[in-house]
Amino acid sequence: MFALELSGVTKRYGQRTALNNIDLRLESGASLGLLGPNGAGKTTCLRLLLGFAQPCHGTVRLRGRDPMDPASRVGVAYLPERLRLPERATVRGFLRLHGTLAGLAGAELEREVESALEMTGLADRGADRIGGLSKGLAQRVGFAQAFLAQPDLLLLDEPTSGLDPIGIRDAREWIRIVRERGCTVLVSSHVLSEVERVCDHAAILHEGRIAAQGAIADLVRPGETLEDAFLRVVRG
Amino acid sequence: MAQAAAGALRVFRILAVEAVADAVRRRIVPVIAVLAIVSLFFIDSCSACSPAVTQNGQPVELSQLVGFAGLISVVSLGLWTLVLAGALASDHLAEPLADGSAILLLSRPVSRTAFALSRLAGTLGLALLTGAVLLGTSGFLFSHRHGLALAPVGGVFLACALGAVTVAGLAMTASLWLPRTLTTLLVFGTVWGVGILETSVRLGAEIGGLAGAVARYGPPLAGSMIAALSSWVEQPLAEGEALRLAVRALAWATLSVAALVLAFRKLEIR
Repeated sequence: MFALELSGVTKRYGQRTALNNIDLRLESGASLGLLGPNGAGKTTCLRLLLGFAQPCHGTVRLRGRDPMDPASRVGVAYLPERLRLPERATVRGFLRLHGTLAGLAGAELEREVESALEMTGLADRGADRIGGLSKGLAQRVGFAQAFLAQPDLLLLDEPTSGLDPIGIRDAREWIRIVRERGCTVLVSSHVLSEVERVCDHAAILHEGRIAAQGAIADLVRPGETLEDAFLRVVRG
Repeated sequence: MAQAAAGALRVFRILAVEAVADAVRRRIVPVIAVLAIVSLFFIDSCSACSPAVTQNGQPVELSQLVGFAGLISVVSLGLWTLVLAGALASDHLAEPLADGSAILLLSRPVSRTAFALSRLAGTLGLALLTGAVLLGTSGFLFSHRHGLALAPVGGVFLACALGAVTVAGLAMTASLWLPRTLTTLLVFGTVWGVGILETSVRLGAEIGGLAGAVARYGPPLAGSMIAALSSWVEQPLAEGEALRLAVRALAWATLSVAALVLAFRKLEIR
């Protein structure tokens, strides 16, 4: 079973075509970088996968199910690009809420919350109100909620946005740790160096179409970086 | 099946608690509390006074009019509770969608239905708590000071609760497309407009066309509360009228919730 699958998917917003007949699959346990310039359709792909929008044509499956079915999101964690957290909630209270919605309860919930706080460097910030945190710390809270309940599939949209260089390095390490646990990871980003370091596969979206996809080692020609390969594909 | 239902109920409960907490944390809550306290002082003062009233030149004891005074006070507070429910509903779902804070919750195994209903429950929790304080206190004052029966106020609260579900559900549905200010104005106009039409028809006014249809078949926002207090004004209800009003109120509440759920399930979340 594929962790996620888009088959012949077209999505239009009024007259604008955001995605044009794209096919994208990700096997369980793999990691995929979804690359593309701004407006290429990366976030639209994630919105379709999470059931926030419906395709005009084609089918979308998340863990083998229709994304509108809440059961498709069991074991799925998401970190959106535009992260908005409840400002009046405490960090720990927010994580408890998400842990509970992810199916945790009792001692297991408390253990997972503390583990996520520890992992993301927020162990001493659990009682703080989210509204008082810096953007970088808030992004760490976003990562912490994504790591709760040991997800099977992690969907990250521009995950290093707002993080300082230390945070970026930490985020890379966290993704490596969850990948080692067998978690499938999809990272949507235009920071090619990040994708190159945390993913083994990439798909390049350009003007709503998949311009290239495959193992990063196959996409990159000898002597090229992923950035060179990306520019070659996008500029034709 | 039973396990899935239990799971859905558990998710709804978690989200509803969060939605009530969200509602209580809103900046408008202190304003509501102040207005409620002012209203109670007003009712306290009104129910305590006994001015000289004349009818056809003859003095009338206030005790003869107290049933009508009590009815007008309690039904007005009930209608304000409906306006409050609608005003709170006008952004309690739309705002977290607009600012993106709903995205993380909806990325969990949460159904759209559970999310929308939990936001509605949050709105109703705050509005009906306010309504219970206002209606309960005013009912108690009229009962304690003028000997009016207290039990009918319970009926008013039930009618108010069904009306609040209708108004909040429709307002929340409208808020998915309309800006908050416009939705709130629509709520205000609709509640008082429907209330006045219903009362006019009840008092024997001949109203035709759309307005007449709204008064007869629309949500019985004021009518069901007036009917609940019929014993206060010694005007017994026609046979079967209470049941007809209850069915109409329940049907509108159900339609309103169904409209919200269907609209939210079709909505594209950005």
